Amino acid sequence: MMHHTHDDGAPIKDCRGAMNKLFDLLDGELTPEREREVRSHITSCPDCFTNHDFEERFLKALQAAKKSVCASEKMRDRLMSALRAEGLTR
Amino acid sequence: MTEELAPPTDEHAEFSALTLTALDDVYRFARSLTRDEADAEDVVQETYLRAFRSWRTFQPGTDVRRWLFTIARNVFLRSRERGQREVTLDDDGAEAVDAAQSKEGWVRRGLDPLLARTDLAPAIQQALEEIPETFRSAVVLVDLEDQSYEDAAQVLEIPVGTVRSRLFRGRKLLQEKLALHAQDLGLISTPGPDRSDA
Ligand SMILES: [Zn+2]
Repeated sequence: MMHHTHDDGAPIKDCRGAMNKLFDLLDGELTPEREREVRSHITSCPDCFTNHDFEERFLKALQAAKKSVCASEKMRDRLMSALRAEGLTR
Repeated sequence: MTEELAPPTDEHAEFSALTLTALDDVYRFARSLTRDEADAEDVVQETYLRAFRSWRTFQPGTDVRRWLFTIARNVFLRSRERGQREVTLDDDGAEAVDAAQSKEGWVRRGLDPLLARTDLAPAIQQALEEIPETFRSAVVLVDLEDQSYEDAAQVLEIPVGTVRSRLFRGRKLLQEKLALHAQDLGLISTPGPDRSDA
């Protein structure tokens, strides 16, 4: 099984290094020390700060969009009937 | 046959309590796979019937949603095996991603005003339906359903590194679709030579 992150362990030296880890950071996939390192670059670098801010707003918008799709009452009823026909008693 | 496999009554309440609260999530994932309401409902129903029949194989303490997503994906893949060509995997959409990245500055200018709007959900759902399935599944699992890279890798039966690259491509493709939407709304002009990227 692969590890949590594919991380070569090299220190974050520049914008490229930080931006390679941007989505891992936003997705909560970094180890705590790695996260501190990336955050420290991002907070002190205007370009990376802007990129981080943009991607974060984008991901929040995606997350918010999920509420617009949900199972209808009709499908819920149909599913419960099917499960009861299969033997579900509760 | 089903009587042998179905759990006894005391397990029924547990099944209902754990799985039915995830119905919206499973339906959303099925919708992202099928892109069709009726097909998604069929996938969901089949998923739950299978889950019920094999409830005893579910390992308590593990993520029930990941288990249901895995079943849903298998149901979906089987349902379209008949007569369907194999989906091309990783290269699917690669060119479009390259194009999207070359327009990064334009995409950014379009999305900035768009992300400030509150009525973005329909545009996002539309954009999701327009990107290739391989990317859509990764984005839906991680971005909408909060699955970890590891969980998504298990559901999709791909390495974690592939989840990461599909997420990246999927997100960039989505951003480009949304920038086109912003263009339709008159929020930005057509993509021209990129001035903002260094
Ligand atoms: Zn930087």
